[in-house]
Amino acid sequence: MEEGFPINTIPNGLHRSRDPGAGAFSTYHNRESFATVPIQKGEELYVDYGYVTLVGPQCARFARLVAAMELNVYLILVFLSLLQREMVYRSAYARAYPSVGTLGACDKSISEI
Amino acid sequence: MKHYDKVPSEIFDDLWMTFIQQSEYTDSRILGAFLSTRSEWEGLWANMTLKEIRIQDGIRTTEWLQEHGTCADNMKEGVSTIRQAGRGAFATRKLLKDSVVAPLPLVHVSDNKIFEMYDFEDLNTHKTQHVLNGYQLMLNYCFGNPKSTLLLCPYGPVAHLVNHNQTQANVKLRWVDSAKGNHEPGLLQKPIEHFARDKTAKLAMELVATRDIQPEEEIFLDYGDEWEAAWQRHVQQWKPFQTFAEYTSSHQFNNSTEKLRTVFYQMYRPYPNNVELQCDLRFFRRIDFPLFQQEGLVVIKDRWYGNVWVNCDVLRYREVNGTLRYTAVGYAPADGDRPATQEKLTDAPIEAFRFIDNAYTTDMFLPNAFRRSPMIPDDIFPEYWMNL
Repeated sequence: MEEGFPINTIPNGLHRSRDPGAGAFSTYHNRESFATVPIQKGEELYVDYGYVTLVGPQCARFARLVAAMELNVYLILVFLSLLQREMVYRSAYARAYPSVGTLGACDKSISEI
Repeated sequence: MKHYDKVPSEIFDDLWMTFIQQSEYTDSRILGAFLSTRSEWEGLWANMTLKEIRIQDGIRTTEWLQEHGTCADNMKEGVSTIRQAGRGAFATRKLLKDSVVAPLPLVHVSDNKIFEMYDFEDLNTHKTQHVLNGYQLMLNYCFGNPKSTLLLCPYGPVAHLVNHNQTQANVKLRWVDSAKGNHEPGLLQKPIEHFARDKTAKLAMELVATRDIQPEEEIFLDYGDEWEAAWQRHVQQWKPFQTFAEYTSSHQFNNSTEKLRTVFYQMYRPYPNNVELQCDLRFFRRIDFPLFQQEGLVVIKDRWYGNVWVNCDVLRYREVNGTLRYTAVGYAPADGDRPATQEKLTDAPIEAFRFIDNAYTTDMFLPNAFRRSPMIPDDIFPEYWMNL
């Protein structure tokens, strides 16, 4: 699904020189969305929010959070491996489908952080 | 027994929140609105990516939707029967008393001060001032209560168009059944401080019909006595600025039958500073050009091509096949390494042009515009949230 642009109109001919309601509501409306692929009944609708990469400070924050979690080593390793695999998949997706929104990949490897 | 069953639920929740919060959607409340479920966790263990899980999880049977979903197309937008209200919401079908008219999933704002606006610098004296000069328009679209700093802003379709009318109100607010909507009743007993930290949207209300509503009837909600009093005060105190009599919005220009003014004509009669004339440099690539040449008809052939709107000056116009055609120069700004360029648009119809409002000039930026949040009635507003 892709989102279009809203229409900008002022209804009822309201004018700032005579109407106390002028400016009390948004004049943007009817932002329509269009199906980009056939959508099945019951299927959830998605749009592409864009692609952003998780950068340095966020990676560091993630590392601190993981360290702070008092989990056993097994769990942490499993989680990190899952995360790492997720990143590999995501970057593969990003390469294969550049227009498809994916969650970002970390710009540092787990060992670096 | 599967191995993920060994993971205690608190640890599972912690991991899941970390996973979501450390994605680039750190601040996405919409993404945060997804509840963590065992099925998502299960998918992760079953060698699936988050994207695959989302897609799999996003497809629900119609039976599931009938049990857990809420109809979102009971209302449509239209011009309100209340003149000062602008647009409004209207029933698309007959709605019976006590039926759900619309879902209102909510994004919480723990401190309403976030919508306050300040003047930081006096342009004449260049002295820094911290003077409250108004509220953002968003305030009008968020439910609040005078006893609390919490605001709840609906993000569902059409529901924000429901206008206030105390005498003809035909819907009321109520909290959603948690089996039907993304609503955690436990949050009604959390203090405001919790919402300052919680980045996920997990509250939802709904509009319920207080009587039978006929198709095409406008939907009205009672925004509360405080709102009514504030509006009446505003109308009484409101004075028009004389200088506004001449104001013409982009909307008025776009709907005007007046010919576009050429740069030469603008020396006598310039466009006001609050609007900008733009033209679409890709216009001819988007339309069915042979048809346009033969019949003068503008049919968008490829709207995916994307339009490139740039500021424009009209050089001349002439009549071709009974319609006005404008020749204009478009000013494409510099973009990265590409320098600014000027491009000519020859014999384009009026559809290739538009007026836009310059930043901060539209009605919603008027210093005397009305600002007030609709009220959540006291009888459903939790005591835990009353921090004023």
